[in-house]
Amino acid sequence: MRHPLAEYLRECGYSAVQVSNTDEARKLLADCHRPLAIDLVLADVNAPGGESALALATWIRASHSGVQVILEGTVEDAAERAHELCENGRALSKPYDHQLPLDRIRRLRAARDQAERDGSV
Amino acid sequence: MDASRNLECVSSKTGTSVPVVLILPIATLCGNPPIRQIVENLEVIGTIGWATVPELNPEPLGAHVLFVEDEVLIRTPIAQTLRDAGFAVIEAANADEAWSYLEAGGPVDLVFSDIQMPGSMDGVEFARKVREKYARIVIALSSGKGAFLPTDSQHPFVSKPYRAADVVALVISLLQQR
Repeated sequence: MRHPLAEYLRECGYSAVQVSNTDEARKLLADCHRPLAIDLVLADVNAPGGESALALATWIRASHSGVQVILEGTVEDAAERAHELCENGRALSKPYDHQLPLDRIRRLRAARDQAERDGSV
Repeated sequence: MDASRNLECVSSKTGTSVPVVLILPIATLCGNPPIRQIVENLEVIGTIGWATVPELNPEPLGAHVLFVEDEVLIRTPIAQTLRDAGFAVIEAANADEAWSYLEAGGPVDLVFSDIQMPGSMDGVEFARKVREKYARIVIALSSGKGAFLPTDSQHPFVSKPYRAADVVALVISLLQQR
């Protein structure tokens, strides 16, 4: 699920880094050898990992004051938030078709619904 | 600007003694009969070197690379370098995630996978499943921990540590050979 979201954000001009769980997120943010300039962390409250997304968010807010953290409850919420980011955000070097993100969100929702029906979430 | 029109203007100016220097990408010359005809009619007084032009083989760029690596500190910068090189990169932290993506119908042209990863299968087993069901996908494997690679493995293998630039070069060359 996070892959289409990341692709969507990249297409509208953001540089998106995707991780599988809170452990990976913590590793990337704590890496001093190759610090990543992260402006925003978009996380599912139910993200897997050794620590909860909430605990991760707390740590980020305490130790990385420049980083905004947004916690979303569902992938649909995350998709909506990504849509807002794209609507309000980047200066794009090429024309941006606003219909594309709406299509992407619809497809995300459809894929999510299908996955739930298949029981393969 | 239409290169072939410019060349016609040059060649019709008979009697002129001003040498014309023509710099064309090789692809334009080889693939374009009108330009080739015109150039053959000109007196070629010499050629000035040849440069490697990456865009001669544009097809590999824009291809979808499924990059499977459980160590996020390796995966993230390599994926970014591949994207900067023009590839669409799908990242997976293990073979199960990668397999789910393929089964969900995600487009993939090349799989670049680590061998030792957590989950129900390692990279070698994952490669076997991909070969079986998605035969057109090109596969390359990597490892750094002395992993056992079957001697009959037909896949290109890169040992760790590897440089991002080497991964990009490998991906481009494997896709060009396809």
